[in-house]
Amino acid sequence: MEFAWTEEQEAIRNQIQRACANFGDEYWREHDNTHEFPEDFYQAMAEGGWLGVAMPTEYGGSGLGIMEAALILQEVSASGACMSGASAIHMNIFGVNPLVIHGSAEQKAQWLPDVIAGRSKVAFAVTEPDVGLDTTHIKTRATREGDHYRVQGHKVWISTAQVAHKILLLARTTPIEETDRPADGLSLFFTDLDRSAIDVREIDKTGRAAVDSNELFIDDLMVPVEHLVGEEGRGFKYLLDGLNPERVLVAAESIGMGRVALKRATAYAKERVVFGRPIGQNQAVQHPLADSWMQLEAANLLTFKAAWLYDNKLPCGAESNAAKYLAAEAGFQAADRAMQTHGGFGYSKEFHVERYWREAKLPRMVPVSPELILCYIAERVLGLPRSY
Amino acid sequence: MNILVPVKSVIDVDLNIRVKDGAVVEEGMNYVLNRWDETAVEAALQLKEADEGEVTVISVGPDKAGEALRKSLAMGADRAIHVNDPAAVGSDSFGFARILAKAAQRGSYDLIITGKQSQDTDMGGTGAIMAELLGLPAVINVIDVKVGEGGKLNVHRLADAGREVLELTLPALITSNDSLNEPRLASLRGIMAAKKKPMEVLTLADLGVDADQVGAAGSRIEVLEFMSPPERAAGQKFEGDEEETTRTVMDKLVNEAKIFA
Repeated sequence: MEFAWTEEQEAIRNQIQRACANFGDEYWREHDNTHEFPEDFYQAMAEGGWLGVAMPTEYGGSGLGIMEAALILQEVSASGACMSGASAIHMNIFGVNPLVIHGSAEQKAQWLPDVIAGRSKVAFAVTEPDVGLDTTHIKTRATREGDHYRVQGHKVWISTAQVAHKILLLARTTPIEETDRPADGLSLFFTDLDRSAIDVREIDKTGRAAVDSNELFIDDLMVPVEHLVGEEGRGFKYLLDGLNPERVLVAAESIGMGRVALKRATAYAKERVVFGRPIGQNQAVQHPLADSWMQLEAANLLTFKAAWLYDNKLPCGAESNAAKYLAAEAGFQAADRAMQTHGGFGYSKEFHVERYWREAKLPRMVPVSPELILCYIAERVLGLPRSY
Repeated sequence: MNILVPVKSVIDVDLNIRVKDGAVVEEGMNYVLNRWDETAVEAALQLKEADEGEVTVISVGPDKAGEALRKSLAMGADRAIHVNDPAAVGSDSFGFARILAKAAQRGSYDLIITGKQSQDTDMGGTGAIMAELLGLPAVINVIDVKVGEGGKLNVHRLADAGREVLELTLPALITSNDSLNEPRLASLRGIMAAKKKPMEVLTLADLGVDADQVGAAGSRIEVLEFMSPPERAAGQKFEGDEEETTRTVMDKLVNEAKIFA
């Protein structure tokens, strides 16, 4: 068993930390306030080659694993960028993986270099308002008309759609009643985010305000058949490949947030003097922070174990889900305690912990809820009857 | 232009440095490329990119020296030489310069650039001594460098009351001030490419350096003690009317702190 980072991983961590140091907490606070996409940060990540960490070398990527992608996103998050920083680049780093695995050579050569170099931003359009995590029951329809598909539908919680050039879109191509299983008949498309056919409306939300979340109203979007990824009707299966690595990345991002929150909390606890002593000298202040450190470290071990399993092509469903669960809870708890440590000042935006706290709530809900992870572990790991 | 850049791994000064029993506690510390050497690597890369040639980085030290070399390669240097010999440990500036000068003689370099000093010992002697041993013209504390007419170098150096502009015939040696440039970050591609670049590992014997003349044995300097700097006294805070506060502060600066004395 080997727990040490390789020299290369150390170098990656060191350089990504330095790259992020150019975009400090004030940068993120400002973008949180203005809801402006962190374009400078995104471009710096593209120039450093970070977007292509896990993408194939033949299209300009570095061909590394989810381990390294998780390391990068964790450091981005831990820089104080939190989910705003991570989500700004998350799609380029891993979101297009279904295209990497199932796209044709022509499609990859045409699209991947732009994604890796940061020239195109991609929105991941799967979720719909009426189905939640019951993805096979999405209502968006793509109907074949000659050399095109005509798409009609409604998507929700679609990140970066305000600024994205491309869209990775899941739509039903065969009505559910005509398929053997609900998972059949769904298809995946990689196409232009054509704003003449897609009305993108931003959702005003609690945190991660620098990266927009949207509702998409798709009306007669014409998608050329060449934009179908893989085979028609197999889109849902393609998406499943990406679920575990996504959980691992979100887990790593959560831990990064927990760490930066803990860093600020401990710094404050050391310097804030009340009743003649630093508040950090009080066990009531120390113990929650010490507990958070332990929770974060434990979650981190499972996160990187899951990454290791995935990179070694081993089953990692239980570990990825459990890592996401533990990391999101630990990250949020650390942010919550960081606010509590700051007392009234924690409520002020100037101390940044309230922003961490708002952002740390997000991975507790996406991409899958903690409740559903418990159901999954109960069923798949413990063999208990399926509850949902 | 072929350039040799001597670099050094130093303890990351952003971490909490502890002194115990008269020495810096190295356990648990990270090593980074010396800040001034990073500037030297950047300057070498810029000169190479403006013209052509190769940038070779060299470091003398135990395994931790590899950190400075790998970082330099990731930034874009072409090859590295690691002089890794237990007998070199404990060298003073003269010892390091001796080893580096021997190594420099094995290649054919138009220019040697190194940081004006290292962040850990702040001695600032290695570059100048190396130039002396090699019989090269040297400019210390360079803040600007460009290739000029006839392949000569135009070099600006930070002088006491301004900048000194010099023309330098190659081969030569310069040491870099940290205002010389803004060193680039290593890109992910750079880090990946660094693994495949040649790294030559040499001993003192390979270089023909007499082990008695370097390392702790050959050092002309003996470190007697390390001490943590004294804690800084707390500052004073002045609040209230702007004009009145300014007067009070100026009065204290001039009459108590005697800043113009």
